[in-house]
Amino acid sequence: MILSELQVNDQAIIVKIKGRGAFRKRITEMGFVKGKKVKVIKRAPLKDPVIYEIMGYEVSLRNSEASLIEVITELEVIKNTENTESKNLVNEEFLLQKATEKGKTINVALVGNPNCGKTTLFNHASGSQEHVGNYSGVTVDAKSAKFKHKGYTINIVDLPGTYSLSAYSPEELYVRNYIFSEFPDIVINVIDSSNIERNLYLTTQLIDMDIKAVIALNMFDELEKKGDKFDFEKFGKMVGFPVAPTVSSRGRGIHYLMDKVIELYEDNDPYYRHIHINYGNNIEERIKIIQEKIKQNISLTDKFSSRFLAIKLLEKDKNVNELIQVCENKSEILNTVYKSIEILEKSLKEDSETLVTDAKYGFIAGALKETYKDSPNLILKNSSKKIDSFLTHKLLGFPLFILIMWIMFQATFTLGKYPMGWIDNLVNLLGNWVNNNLAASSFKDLLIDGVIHGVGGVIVFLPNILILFLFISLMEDTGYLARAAFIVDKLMHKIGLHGKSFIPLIMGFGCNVPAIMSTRTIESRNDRILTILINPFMSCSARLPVYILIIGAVFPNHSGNILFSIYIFGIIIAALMAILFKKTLFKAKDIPFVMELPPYRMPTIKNTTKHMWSKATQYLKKMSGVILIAAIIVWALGYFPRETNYTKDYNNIKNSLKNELITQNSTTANIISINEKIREVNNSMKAEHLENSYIGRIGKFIEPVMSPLGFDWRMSVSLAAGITGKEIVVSTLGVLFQAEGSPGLNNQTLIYKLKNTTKNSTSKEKLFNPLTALSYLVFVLIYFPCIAAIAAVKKETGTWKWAAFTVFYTTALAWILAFLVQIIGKLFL
Amino acid sequence: MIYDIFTAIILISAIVIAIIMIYKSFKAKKNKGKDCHDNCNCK
Repeated sequence: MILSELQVNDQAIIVKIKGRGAFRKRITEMGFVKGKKVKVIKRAPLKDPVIYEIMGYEVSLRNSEASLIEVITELEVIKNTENTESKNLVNEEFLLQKATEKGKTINVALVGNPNCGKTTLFNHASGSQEHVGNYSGVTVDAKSAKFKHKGYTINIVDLPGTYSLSAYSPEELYVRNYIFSEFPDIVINVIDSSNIERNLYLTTQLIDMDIKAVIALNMFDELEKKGDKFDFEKFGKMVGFPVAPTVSSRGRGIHYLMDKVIELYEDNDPYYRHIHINYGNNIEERIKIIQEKIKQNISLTDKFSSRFLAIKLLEKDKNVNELIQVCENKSEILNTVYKSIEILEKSLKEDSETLVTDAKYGFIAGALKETYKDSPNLILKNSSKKIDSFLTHKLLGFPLFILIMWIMFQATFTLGKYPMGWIDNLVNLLGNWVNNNLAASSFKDLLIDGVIHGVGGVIVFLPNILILFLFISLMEDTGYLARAAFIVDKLMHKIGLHGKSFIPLIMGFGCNVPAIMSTRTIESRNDRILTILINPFMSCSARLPVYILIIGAVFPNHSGNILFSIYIFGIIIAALMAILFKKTLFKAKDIPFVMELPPYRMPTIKNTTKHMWSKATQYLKKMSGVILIAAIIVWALGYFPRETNYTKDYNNIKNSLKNELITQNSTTANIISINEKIREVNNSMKAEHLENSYIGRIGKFIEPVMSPLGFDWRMSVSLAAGITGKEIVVSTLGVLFQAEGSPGLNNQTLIYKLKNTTKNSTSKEKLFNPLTALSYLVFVLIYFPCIAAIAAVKKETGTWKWAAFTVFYTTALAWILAFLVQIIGKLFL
Repeated sequence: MIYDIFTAIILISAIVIAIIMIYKSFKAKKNKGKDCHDNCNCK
């Protein structure tokens, strides 16, 4: 009997909860668990929903939900009891006993590809004599049998063989409808071990359906005979289904398989969990949009997973299309589906069905790559495998990966140099033009020193960022990025992370914000947060200008090595922090996940340029937005207040120098020397003004904290300004160390200034000595990621706690490490 | 004088935009971000 059939005031004991995983979980959380007494309190005027009393409180359930709960009533027991004496003994205890007995009946369905040995397994398990043959399609309808195993009654149904659960053939539709209408407690997915890859396609659909399944690796002896090795336990952990190897023709492993069925039925299986196959960003985004529309129809989603329906709709499944017809918002759903298919097919140049199929095979390939080892006499079957045998080779894979990474960074810096110079010249031209065409005023100063210097100093790095993203996009589109994740998987495990964390970390070299957002593909929350926490140590492209500037000023002869070391240092710190966090904050055991290995594809120019264009616009938007605003504010803080009590009468000194220029019999050498003096006076005057400006006061305020690191107030201010975005560090340095008399400050003059600025006007000691420069680089690398990254941390972790933690631990760590650089450095220098 | 007015307008706008930007970046949408099981979209 089912719960929805009970009348008001009827009582019953719950026998089992049917339906898919997420539904069962929700219902169980509400208190509807096996063996509990439930009573119907009242029905709503339209007979739906119904209020039930369970565990002492009242819960309302819709009929569609109640129809998935199997119960046993007193009346039912009396009817089925032949013994009159027993009939009189029916009390709650007796009812509970009957419910437990009934609860020990497991409905099992066998599904699998044709000719994978389902019927042989069925015969062996149940002792039946159904006809079997070594060709597909022997079973044309469902056959059922009943047998006992360890006190449980197992009702087993042998379903026709199908390659998938799409609605192409009547068999496929039959199997799918059986699963959705009969809700077997457990599905046994029989897999032909000699052809695992193809057989697993059906498994991916069972995963999408969110049902309880056990994988029977049938004909396992053939796999062993071939000399192949399959770590099926690891595989089971990855896909979330328990796996049992069987040789049903000899009855081997069937006992163990049934043990697994019982374990899973009783929710005691440690491997079972519902996973999501990652279909890639484009498809996932569309699935989510369609799901949102489907979810408005609760009666439908109680029975079917909205994700499964969305995927099937994207696959243009006619049967699911018909299912949607009962939805109130059916036209809205279908319009979204058509639009999604159009968008996907247009952007990915493939039929939407093929795209989903490819992603499923990518998932299978990834899972098998980690768990399945072909015997050495393997014949390479397809081009993807041929390329993989080279790129993910045991010995060659890693050096090749390093080489590709090296080429990427090398190209970013060397190729980027040329367009960088062009943009720099343009910025200078603009600065000169404004200087020559505007009358002296605060507005002119704002335009030249604030806007052009501030933004111009940062915009020159656009080519580097585009080149970096060209490489990342090419790696992503060809499918190499997924392989790269696979290659570093072992290394990542050593620091307590998974290969999947690698992609967000690589993306962190571009920008930490999308990198943090891309951690969504990591299923485990612990791994996800851990990846988010260490992501800021991946030197984002915004930090690159700071490195180039400081290294150019202080280490011009070792620029390449120092730059490379900074990146490596960031990676090492990330790894060390990951190990530390894994041992302290995230102690939970690792859960293995499948890393999809999509087939290799030729990247399209359209997709790559689209990717680069979106990055360029993102960067330019940042320029016209946050960086422009920050540059203006930093300029204003350095420009005001205008009144400064100078320690010397600079104007007087300047005037007397100018008079000297007029009155003296000037030789060229004299003119140059006097002009140099005037320039120096101007510089001192400007420096004194800056020191007394608002930004100077802020810098002075934080200087005591930063002085142990060797930073003066200007360096401290530039770091403080950098919290809005690391590019601001450069623009702030540009404004603070502005070169007198050189309109359109370019990086060369800024580098010159940084190189020659002394700690104070009386000292000859250089401000940016090698040690301080290193401390500064280390501090920039590690401290506070920008505000946008912190907002992304908050968004992805769902709590301010981790965002605040990131702010404090990165800044504290940056200070400690920069201080250590000073202390240890002084021992050697 | 007119240039100083320009500067003042630009400065005030910059400060207002900065405040809005900071406010907006912190007002990001919540994502519970639980494990797949708990945050399962299939529910």
